[in-house]
Amino acid sequence: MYLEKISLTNYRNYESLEINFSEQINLFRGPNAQGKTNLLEAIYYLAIGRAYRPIREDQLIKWGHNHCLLKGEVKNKIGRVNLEVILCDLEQAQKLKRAKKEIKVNGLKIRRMTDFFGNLTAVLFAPENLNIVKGAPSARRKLLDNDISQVSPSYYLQLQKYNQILKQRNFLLKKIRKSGRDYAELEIWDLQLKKVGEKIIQKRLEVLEKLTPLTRLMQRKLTGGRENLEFRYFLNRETEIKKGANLKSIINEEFAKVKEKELERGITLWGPHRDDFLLTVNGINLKLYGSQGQHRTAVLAIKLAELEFFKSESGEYPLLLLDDVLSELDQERREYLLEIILSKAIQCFITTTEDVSSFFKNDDNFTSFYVQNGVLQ
Amino acid sequence: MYQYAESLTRLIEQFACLPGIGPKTAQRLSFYVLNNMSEQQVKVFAQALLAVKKNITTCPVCCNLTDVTPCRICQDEQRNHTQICVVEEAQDVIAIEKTREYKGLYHVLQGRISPMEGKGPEDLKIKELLARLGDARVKEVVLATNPDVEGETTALYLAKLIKPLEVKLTRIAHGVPVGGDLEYADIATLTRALSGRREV
Repeated sequence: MYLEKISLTNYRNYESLEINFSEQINLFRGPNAQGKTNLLEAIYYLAIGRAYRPIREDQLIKWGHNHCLLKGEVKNKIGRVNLEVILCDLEQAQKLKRAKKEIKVNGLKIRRMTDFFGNLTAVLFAPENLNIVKGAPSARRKLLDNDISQVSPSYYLQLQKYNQILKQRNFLLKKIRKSGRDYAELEIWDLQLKKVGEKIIQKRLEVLEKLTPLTRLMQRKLTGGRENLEFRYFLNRETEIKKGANLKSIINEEFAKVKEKELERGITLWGPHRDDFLLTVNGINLKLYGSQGQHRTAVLAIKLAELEFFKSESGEYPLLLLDDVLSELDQERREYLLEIILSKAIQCFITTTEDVSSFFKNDDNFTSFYVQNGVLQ
Repeated sequence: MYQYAESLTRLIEQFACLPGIGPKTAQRLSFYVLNNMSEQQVKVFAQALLAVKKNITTCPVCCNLTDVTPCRICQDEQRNHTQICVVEEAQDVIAIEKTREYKGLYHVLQGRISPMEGKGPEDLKIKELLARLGDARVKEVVLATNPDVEGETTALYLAKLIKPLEVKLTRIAHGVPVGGDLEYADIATLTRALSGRREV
């Protein structure tokens, strides 16, 4: 699929911007702090329907304005789709008696995010993605949850349901700890948590299983066949789920283990919100023993595998957004990456501070934009 | 600073106590009462307010709102006394009544299990429901709580209590609204309708 055009009004440092994109490589070049990443962020917003960094969304509105507008024209296998996001600050929203955020697909307001997903899919590779290997478990869960939600609306719904159950159950556990007496309804919340939790874990395992061969293939190509990457999924960060295991009985066992501690601490201590997966290269824990370069290669391999995953789930390649990563890669890896992008006709958006046109051959199809202070040339 | 005469201020304050009514609307309503309503109309209005507080009670059997004891539905021998439909709120009874399809009795829980709102089973009219199941006439309980996380939990909780008793237990189906086009149904509803599909 392709993003043909984007227009931004009062978004971050852009007052008014309208650009038509190339269906191949789009380069955003310019010095630091001019708005290159903001552009990628806007494109990614149109794919996932929210900001990918944890910020308050009204901070996306240009300073001194009360609303912002993002519009995108997408060409996918179904046809053309117009996406539109309007964000208002609180004051403006109250004045106009409308929601702070409104999303429209082809001019029609949507009520649920599940009606939005799938129109535009994108894979983002930013420097902070090294967190997938190095960071806390939440970074890895976020990767899975974001990717699966984009292709499976029912997964997104289960996640929402799970979070609601979790919130209610935590409330009840706190109440039990405070009062010291039993509550008969806890058993029912346990049941619900396990049931929905199992569905989420099941889907994550399914997707990891699909991602594994794809990532391994990419990793081998990036490393000349020397490295063999693998994912291992852990319940509660400690109990590994192996292929073919009886998930239901493991869940029951794990759940029973923490029950006493939960009542003591008044918080839910089991569930997919505490799971993690581990990356190993040739059987060695990458997080602990991998070098910086290995981390970067592994993340690149995962990102390339994500492209193939989206393709296999939806039948077309997503957009690829590369934030400041091209110049971080060595020549071999960079060439491999560009070869994939060009040979598979993936629409790509790249930000860079340097002149990287030398990375491309003359006949490569790329369009370069120079970004300076919220203006594109 | 000059203010409205005291009676008018009192009235504005009273209107402003109501949900969804801010100071401006309260002022507008008060002026409407003052300028556009006859004394007779105001009397009827005031009496209606008093009457609702005085006459409406909870039915001791089904816990629905009523002005007679027991309520008109529980009293009605034409209705099917073998079925009890369990709902969260009195409004749900009216919604189901509008279908004119269901002829059984109701039971209003007056809420749902939601720890965040401070509501547990002991806050709901569950004891009253179980007492009714002692009646040998009751053959079926229909669980019609809402299809969200809290309603589902309430239904599961009730199911656990009722299952051991010799009563048929059913849960209302969820799915696509009738008369609507499939294309207008949201994905959450459609997903549910698909997973609950049945053979024809």
